[in-house]
Amino acid sequence: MMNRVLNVFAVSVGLIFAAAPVLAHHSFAAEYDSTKPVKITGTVTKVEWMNPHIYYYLDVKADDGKVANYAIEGGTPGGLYRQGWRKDSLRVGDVITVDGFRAKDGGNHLNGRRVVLADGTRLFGGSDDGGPGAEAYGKK
Amino acid sequence: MNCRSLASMFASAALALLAANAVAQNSNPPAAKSRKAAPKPKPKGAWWYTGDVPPAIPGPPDMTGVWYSGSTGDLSKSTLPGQELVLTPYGKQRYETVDHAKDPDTFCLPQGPGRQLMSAHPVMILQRPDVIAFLSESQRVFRLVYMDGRGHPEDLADYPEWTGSSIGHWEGNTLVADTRGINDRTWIDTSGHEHSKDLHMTERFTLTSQNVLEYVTTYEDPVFFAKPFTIKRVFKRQIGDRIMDQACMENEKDVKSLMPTIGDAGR
Repeated sequence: MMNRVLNVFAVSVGLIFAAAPVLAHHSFAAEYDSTKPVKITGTVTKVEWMNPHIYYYLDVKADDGKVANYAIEGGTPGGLYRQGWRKDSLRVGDVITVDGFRAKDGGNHLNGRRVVLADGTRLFGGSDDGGPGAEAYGKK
Repeated sequence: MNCRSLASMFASAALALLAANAVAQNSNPPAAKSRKAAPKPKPKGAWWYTGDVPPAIPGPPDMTGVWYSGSTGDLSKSTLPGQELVLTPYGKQRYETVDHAKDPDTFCLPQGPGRQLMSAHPVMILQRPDVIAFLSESQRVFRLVYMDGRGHPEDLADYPEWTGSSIGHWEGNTLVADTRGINDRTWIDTSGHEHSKDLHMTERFTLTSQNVLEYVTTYEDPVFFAKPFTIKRVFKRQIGDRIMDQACMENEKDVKSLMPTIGDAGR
């Protein structure tokens, strides 16, 4: 029984990293700067599980103690669902870490490529849009 | 590691439940099992959903089902050996100056006939003897290939279509679709290869096995391409998958953030 329980868990984790169709509807470079990687840790303040891209927002405390809110674009809901994301994978109050790239138009807007969830689970969170490779972020 | 700590938490919970059953169970330890993951429950539905063998029906192979090939990317990299995408001088000038911030796909306009199939979203094929529908998850756009012997609309040149006009026939086990009259605002791929109203595609779809569909397509457009070129892409059947929701304008936030990104800067 325990082996089966562990096997089911392994399947779930495997699903999270399994290759699956994700969105690619336009050039990454027209919006985001792959020369400007950003890694932030913050508290989720809002989640928009909507088409064409999910958005989630983080309050991030800077070194000087000031809190800035970041808007992070993720993949398409259907594509993320196939990879094991659910609409409550991110919840308001969760502390998460995001690796991503800054938007070219300035401001606190990122394309999020890799997410480490509150429980330590690592997910590829971006789109198959020609942006920095999913392979680099643990997506098979 | 994360997996182990979570797994042991999960296992502890399971053990607690098992303890309640211990008296009724055989007290011998369970036989060692292989470490393979438990199989997912088999999907219930049509053969093209479950991966079962289709019924043997006379006629051409049935391509009905959900397929995935991945995004077009740069089609010049998908040409058959010996084939090359060569731009005319005009085509080269357009390719070098195309603005990726103006990609029609970003503005939720329908992709052309090739780009809507070769997508990072899956496509569903719905096959009848007299018409075949290709239903794309991306933009929820569809195109139709008429198999009933009709020609293209006579006034097609005056009324081009975003998805083009497609008429098809079988050559053995290959569906051959003749596609013309494509609105010249489409891009044939993500990298920004554009085309004129004279683009003519000859598309060949062949099931090389039950779960593999080969797509071999020739693009001819003397305005943009110095010679016709042929690409090949492979589609894999997505067993247990379905076309999911997509709505381009539901919470669209990209358009306002786009910056002019010209030619190679966007690739």
